[in-house]
Amino acid sequence: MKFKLSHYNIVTDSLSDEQSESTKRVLFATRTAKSMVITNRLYDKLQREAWDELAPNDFDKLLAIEAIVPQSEVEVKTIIERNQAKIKDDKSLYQVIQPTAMCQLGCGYCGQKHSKNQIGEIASERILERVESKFAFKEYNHLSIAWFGSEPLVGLAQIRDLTPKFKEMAQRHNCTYDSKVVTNGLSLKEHIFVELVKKHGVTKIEVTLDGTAEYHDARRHTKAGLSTFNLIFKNLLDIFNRPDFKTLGCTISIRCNVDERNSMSVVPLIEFLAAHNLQDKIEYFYVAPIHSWGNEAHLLSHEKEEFAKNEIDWILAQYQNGFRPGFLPGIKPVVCLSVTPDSEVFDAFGNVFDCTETPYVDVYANTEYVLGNVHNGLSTISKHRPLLSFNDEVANNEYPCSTCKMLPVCGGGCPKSWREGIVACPSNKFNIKEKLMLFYALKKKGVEALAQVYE
Amino acid sequence: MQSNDLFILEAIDNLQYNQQNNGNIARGDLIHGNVYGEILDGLVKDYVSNMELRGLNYIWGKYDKALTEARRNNLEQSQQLLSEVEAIQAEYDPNTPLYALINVAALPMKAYLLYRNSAFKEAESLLFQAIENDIALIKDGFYILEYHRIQQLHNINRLHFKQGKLLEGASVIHQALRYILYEHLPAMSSDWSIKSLQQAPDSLRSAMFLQLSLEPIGVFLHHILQEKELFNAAFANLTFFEPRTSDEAVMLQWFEIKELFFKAEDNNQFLKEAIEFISKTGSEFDILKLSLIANISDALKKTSVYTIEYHQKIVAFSSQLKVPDRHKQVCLTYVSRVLES
Ligand code: SF4
Ligand code: SF4
Repeated sequence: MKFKLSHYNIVTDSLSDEQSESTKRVLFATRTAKSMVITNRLYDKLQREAWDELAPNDFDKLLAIEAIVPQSEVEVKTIIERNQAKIKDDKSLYQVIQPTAMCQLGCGYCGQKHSKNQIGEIASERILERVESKFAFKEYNHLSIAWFGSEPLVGLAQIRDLTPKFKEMAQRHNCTYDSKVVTNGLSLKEHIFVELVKKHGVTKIEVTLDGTAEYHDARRHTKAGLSTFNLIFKNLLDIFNRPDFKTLGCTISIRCNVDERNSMSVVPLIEFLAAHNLQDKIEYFYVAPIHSWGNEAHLLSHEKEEFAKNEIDWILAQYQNGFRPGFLPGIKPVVCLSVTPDSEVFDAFGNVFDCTETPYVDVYANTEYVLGNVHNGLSTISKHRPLLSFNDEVANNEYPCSTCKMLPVCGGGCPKSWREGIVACPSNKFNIKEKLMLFYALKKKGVEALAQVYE
Repeated sequence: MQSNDLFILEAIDNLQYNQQNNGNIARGDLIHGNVYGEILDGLVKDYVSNMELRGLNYIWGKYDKALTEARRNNLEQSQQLLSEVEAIQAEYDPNTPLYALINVAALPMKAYLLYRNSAFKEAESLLFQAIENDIALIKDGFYILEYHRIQQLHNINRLHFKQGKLLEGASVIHQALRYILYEHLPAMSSDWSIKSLQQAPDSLRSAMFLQLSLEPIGVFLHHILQEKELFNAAFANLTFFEPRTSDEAVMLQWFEIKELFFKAEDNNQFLKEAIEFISKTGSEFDILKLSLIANISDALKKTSVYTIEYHQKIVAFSSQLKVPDRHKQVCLTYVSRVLES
């Protein structure tokens, strides 16, 4: 049997190490998302594929992390087929529900068109029927509902109405149940949080803060232009400071959307959160570039490489301020719900989609992204899911992902973006080597090393 | 109350759960355990070149991963890994010992995936192929594979049980056990090698013996009304061997107590020995105790000292046993029925 060096290896430049004579590199095998520190000598042998010169131990490790693979393997085919097998085996039924088309905020970069509509009684029944129907085709062991917006907490009445019905459905099918909420945080009062967790099975909440008050309020203000940062942050503090917060079983993450207008505010926000001792209360803090809502918002987004460079500084800032974020990507066999055959997104009008970013956005109305509407009868909902073939398209060399070394840990970024001709690569693509160097520093010298680099 | 029944009350009053676990019993299949694996690895190293060994280990590892995914009920991912590794195996010459060595892992794994997909016939055929595949290798010095062949008998037994063919499954276990304990050649397949069987360490024989016995005992609990027939089909006449390890001694004692129960000649003697067994034996044998508890409840009912209070003490004792819940529940349901009858 013959071997070859996998195409899916990322190797850093040489790193000097005061403690040892040899220079080293970090090798990241994206097929398994496992890393290994290697000497330059070993690197040289790998480059030459001089397998018989490799110590058995090194060879076995490299083989185990799939940095070395069988020579005859067509790797991209393997990766895509593994992703597809993973999707087929997934026993968790994931559905996204947008209970209302309303949001209190008027963020300049938001492409959604908000209105006061909520999911009505008939739509609720039909959505339940639609989700129920999925159990006939596959044996699930878990039902997971994501409450998305507009602002889902404006639709709290719908969450209250639907949750017991979903829980009962899960129980009937011997499934466990949980849910998550992606919210602007304005209505996330302490008692609402407790209700969500204790009554509605919410185990994850994501709140967006676009920088410190000054920057956040300049973009995430109410529709009437009023500030929101202090209200949101007070809500968060009330929750985080509950003595039982950690034992309630619901995590809260903070997302910070950036473009060039607010990127300078990320570090002050990290410092602000740290000053309130939230390091071990926030599940994770992450910065996301503004994406396209079918509008021009992404054009203001930092150039991807610039964003990736900044992201390293933001990671270091987190370490210096006592946060301990992970930064190496894990494998991503399922890029998003659009490549699964059973996950759907329901909006407040009863429209059904296969992507979370298409509801309430004018440019997607009357496109194939709207699979149908539950009011027109469930049988009228299109079986054709436009993004479902994405993995096959990658296998057919239709996107740069087909040759990209990051494919196993990226999954292809965002299928919809590639379809629209927008490069979908996440920051990892551009800063993975820097992240591997941080990983090396962390491994060699512990967390202090990262905090010092920042200084 | 007859005075010679009184010892039973005392014994039940003093019943204590023995938490001790000597940890000798392998979890899962022995064939994935250390003794077997280490010996096989050693033999392989002497047999193939270093480069061949790399390939072989890679392929075995991959079949193992496919098996793990199938066990986790990730059947598509298992199939995917299988397709990947089959493509590599196809590059080897099927007429070489190396190919046969690959098949040592490949055939049972493929059979397992077929079993998980309810393709029982095809799975059984592959297991027989696995038994045959080992013959030439054993002749070439891979004596340890005799246990791999016995493992396939166990897998065939599992196939039968899964299809509800209990007696057929029990009879396969019986053949395997008689081979291990008495060196009586199994009627299934051919070329069994007693010399190879004897070459393996006692600990391996003992572990295989336990693996073959304990799993069916759990299954029989779910068919308790048929227990005598099943016991005889799987374990009849297994009390004439010389135990070579302490685990074998425990098994021997259990077989003797069970036979005493099924003979139904001396109820008190059975109760005395059974109660002693369940209070003295370590927790790794809890499944044996659970099986006896069902019989104890029957025997207790026949005595003059039977009271609900004592019956309940037995039930309380059972609840401490470290056995899968499904076994415990079915046994306790039976015990309650005896109580109500
Ligand atoms: S296609 Fe893109 S925008 Fe739509 S759900 Fe997937 S990642 Fe999100
Ligand atoms: S989206 Fe970009 S980083 Fe991800 S796989 Fe495709 S080309 Fe690579």
